Amino acid sequence: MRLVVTRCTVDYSGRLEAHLPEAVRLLMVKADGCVAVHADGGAYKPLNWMNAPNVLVDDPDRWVVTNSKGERLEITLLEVLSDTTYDLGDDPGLTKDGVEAHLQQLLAEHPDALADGLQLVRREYPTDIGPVDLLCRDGEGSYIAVEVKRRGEIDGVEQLRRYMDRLDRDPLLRPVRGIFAAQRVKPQARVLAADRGIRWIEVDYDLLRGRQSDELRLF
Amino acid sequence: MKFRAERTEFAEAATWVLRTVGARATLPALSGVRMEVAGDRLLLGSTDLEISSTLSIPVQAHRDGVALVPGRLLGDVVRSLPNAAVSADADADRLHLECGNARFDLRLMPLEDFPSLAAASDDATPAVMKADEFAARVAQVARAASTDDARPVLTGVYVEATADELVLAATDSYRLAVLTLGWQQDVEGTVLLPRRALDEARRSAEQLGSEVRIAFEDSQVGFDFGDRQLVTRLIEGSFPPFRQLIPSGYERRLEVDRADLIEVVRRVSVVGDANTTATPVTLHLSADTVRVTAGSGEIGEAEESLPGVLEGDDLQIAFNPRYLTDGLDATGTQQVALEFRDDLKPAVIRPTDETDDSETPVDFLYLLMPVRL
Repeated sequence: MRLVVTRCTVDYSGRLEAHLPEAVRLLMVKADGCVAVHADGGAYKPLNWMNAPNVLVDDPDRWVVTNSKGERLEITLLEVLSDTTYDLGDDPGLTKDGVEAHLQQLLAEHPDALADGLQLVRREYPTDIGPVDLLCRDGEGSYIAVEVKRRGEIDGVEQLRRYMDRLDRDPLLRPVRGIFAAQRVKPQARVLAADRGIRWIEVDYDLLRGRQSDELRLF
Repeated sequence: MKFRAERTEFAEAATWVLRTVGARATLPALSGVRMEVAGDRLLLGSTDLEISSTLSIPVQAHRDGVALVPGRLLGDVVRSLPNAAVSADADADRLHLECGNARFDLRLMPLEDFPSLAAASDDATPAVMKADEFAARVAQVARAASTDDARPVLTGVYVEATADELVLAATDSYRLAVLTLGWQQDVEGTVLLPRRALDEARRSAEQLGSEVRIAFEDSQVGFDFGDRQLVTRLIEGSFPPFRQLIPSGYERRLEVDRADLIEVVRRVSVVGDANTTATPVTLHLSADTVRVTAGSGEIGEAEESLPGVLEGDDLQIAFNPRYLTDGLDATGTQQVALEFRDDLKPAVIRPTDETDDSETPVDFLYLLMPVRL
């Protein structure tokens, strides 16, 4: 990663013509070859950029970046304030917090967090339109399909309704009720769930994980 | 259906029955009020499938019949009626109302979609309570119930009725209110009632006075106020075993004037958002003084002291101000005792004297979880 802070002007030609007048900017040259011109603002978006693959010719007072699509980025360096290069090494990539999967696992372990007396039949119970997250039985032995989401939105409710319809065709399971569980259930999803005869529940992920909540409770 | 009724009575009856009108998109009929003329009485009824209300008023009946009238519209109409007798005449699809020179023509709703109204069965022997006593007891306990639908069991009030005792309990997991009332009644039942239903019954009891007859049945509980009835379904599920939460002793005990402490806590907590635990009030207890503080450097700070007698070592303990004042308010006596173990264990608020003006023996306690500082 090469970072250059410089007073410069920038000219781009290609899909359109663009000119940046003289100002101090940050030039970023990443290891894969992409070049970006940043101002001190505008969040993550560069003012100008050129993706790899491209060719960078970096003369002391002028950089020219070109690519095979005929685009050309020309940076005129009037004063270089800083020019540093770091080796960032290999990037492990973005690992998303597997909250949804973990929620499903936690609820499978503690189905009573959804309703008193609920017992797990199996996780990922198969139907011909895909597996339903959890299939449970309540204290009276009737079946309950559970859809687990991180954010409870309308499409999740519809998805659960479809699973319930499929499961309901099985005379051994019928009648199947539904519970829509999410960390946060959007108001529209609440209305739709109630309308579809589905119970919705907001589950406390941290509490399920057994993390000590800062709030003191009686039980 | 055709009748003539006294305006005030008709308006009051319609307004009362509107409280349990439903609002479900899936069953529009629930938004209606059922009107029936039978004999010389007008019967009004509504339900939201959880609570049903019915009442009857005497009218000059001209023709028996039934109609389902849009609830909100009926409410708006009766509120604006001039001061004169009301004449009503319903045909197949319209209700014509006349009052003085005013005429209303209301489109009816299809009656066949309206569910049959729950009614208390005649078999159950009801418990009979004075309306004001009933209202006061419900008010003491129901406030501790949760308003969060995510755990339906906690939105209910636990009611345990036996021949010589009535136990009411409610908790939202941060506080617990338990009331035991001595009575002599021929009833037996343990039920979980929706807080909303009890609040409606309490409001009716306050408004109507006299007495309330409570009938416990397997799947419902009925409140009978003479000419009007509320029937509520029960909440399914088991109420937390609350008796084991009540500490058997204490290490510190504070006796303080209830009204003074409420006033001080309310005043001091204005520097915080009263509805969150994020800005708790802290009680600094010493031998003869309670110093109450609240706030933070960011918002502002407040403090005030009042006299109080502490048994045991000094203690600093913080509470959600609303939960604390709720408990103090519910306790009802002039002096209250607050029992503590330490700053992280639940505190118990109890009445200290028998200045409670009821004739029946009452035992009340309010258990309150502190807030970690």
